[in-house]
Amino acid sequence: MSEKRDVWKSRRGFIFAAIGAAIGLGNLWRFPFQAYKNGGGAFFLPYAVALFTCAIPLMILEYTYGRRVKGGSIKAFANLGKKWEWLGWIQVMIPIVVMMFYSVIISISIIFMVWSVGHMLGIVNWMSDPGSIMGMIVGGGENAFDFSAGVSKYLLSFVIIVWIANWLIVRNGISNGIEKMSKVFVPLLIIMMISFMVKTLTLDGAVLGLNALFTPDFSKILNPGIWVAAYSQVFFSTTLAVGVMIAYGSYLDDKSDIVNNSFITVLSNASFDLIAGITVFSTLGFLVKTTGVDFNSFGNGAGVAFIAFPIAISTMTSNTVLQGFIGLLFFFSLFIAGLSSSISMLESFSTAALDKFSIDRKTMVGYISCVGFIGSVFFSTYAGFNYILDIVDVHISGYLITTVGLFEAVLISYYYGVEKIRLDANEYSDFKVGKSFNILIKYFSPFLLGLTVITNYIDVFKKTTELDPLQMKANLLFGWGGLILMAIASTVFFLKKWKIKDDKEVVV
Amino acid sequence: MNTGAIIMMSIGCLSIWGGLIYCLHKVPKNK
Repeated sequence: MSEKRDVWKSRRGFIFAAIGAAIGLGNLWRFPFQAYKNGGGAFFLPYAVALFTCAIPLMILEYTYGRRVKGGSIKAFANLGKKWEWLGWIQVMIPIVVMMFYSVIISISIIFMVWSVGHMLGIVNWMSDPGSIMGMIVGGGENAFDFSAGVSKYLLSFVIIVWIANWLIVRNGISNGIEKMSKVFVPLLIIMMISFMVKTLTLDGAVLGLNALFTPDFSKILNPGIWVAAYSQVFFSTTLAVGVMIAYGSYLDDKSDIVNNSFITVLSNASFDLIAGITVFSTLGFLVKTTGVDFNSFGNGAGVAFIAFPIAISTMTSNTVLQGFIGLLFFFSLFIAGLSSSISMLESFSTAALDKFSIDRKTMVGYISCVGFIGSVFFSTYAGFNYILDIVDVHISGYLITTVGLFEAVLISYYYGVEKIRLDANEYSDFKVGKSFNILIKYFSPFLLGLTVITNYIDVFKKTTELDPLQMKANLLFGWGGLILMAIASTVFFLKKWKIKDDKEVVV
Repeated sequence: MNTGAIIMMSIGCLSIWGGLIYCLHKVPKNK
């Protein structure tokens, strides 16, 4: 006999878990610079349109369809037609590969937490010069093939902790693992981030940063590139099309709300985008005023979190105990933001694989964690972290996620029926969505996702042609090679037989 | 802060946070 399927014990638990999955490190360093580069305050117009016309409808679609099939992505796609199961496997491969390098980035926040404790206790004094610490952790390697540079012992040691944390939470299932963890840590993360925002708003020079972020440049609004950037931002930020929300939706009770939960998840994530934007640019404004750097001095990625913030903390106060304590809280926030997303990625694959194979959850999560950790070892090498990580990230987010999202919206609309999704979603919801939902899912979202896919393909292709031969070789091997490897693994899993339920019927 | 930035920041915050508060307000009290 098969075991009874787990369900979310409370609505609050589900919402916190979904918000935790959507909120990640990308909110902190992707959104602020997307807005800054694409028209400042004017970016909020396409961003808001994208939230209501793409993110919310697709979230409703994923929750509803997940709940309907009571399974993860492979069962969801297999229900549309046997041949589409392969696409489900591709979809759940994405979060596992992303997690291989994402967990390495999370491990840096743990390393910085340890260093912050050291700073607080007066053992090391590093906050005014975080670059040297960062160099010690990730520095080294000449190019993507320079594996002789070795592996970072810091990344390797701490990425084990990240994988153990993920494994411990996800192996306990939805209600006893993910829900319990999310109900404690996600509210804590929200409180800490709001506190950081309020504190950074009081800094001298914060106004400079807010002006840079919010001053609108409406001349850019007619540029299609801004609209594509807004749709991409909303799409990636809400963790759509990677099987996470289908898996989370599959554990919803049949009489639970879908529509309002989707609005709450997407708007909470957007709120976090906004909080992150204000925090990052207030801090950068403070640094611009006090140290004379400019807004692009720390790059537009991890450099802001791991370099700009420690410098800002060390400039705010001369009390090293306080500096270390603020640093500890900040990097702990990053750790929670990363962990709440990474557990959802591990759950996406686990839910899907548990539907097909007769393996118990604890063993399955153990296997996936071991494979994921081996991948993380690869990204902990100096060549892996400094060169290959970007290549893999660009190929997965540039080519794969939006393409799979496009297929998902089209296939579910045409094979299952978008009206069925709408009626199902509306049945027990606090408020209902009208028939415009059908148009958004059937025509509008696929059109804009198609446009985003084409733009991304052209963009990535253009950048590839500008590379030197060695970089080109690295792109082909690690970028396209990685995608081919994912396709092969998906084919192998696709060809395996479905488990038999009660010795009689095939589950799917 | 300049006027344009104040207006856009207000619109951004009010629409997103206002929307979220509205949705949370719609959740029945006993859930």
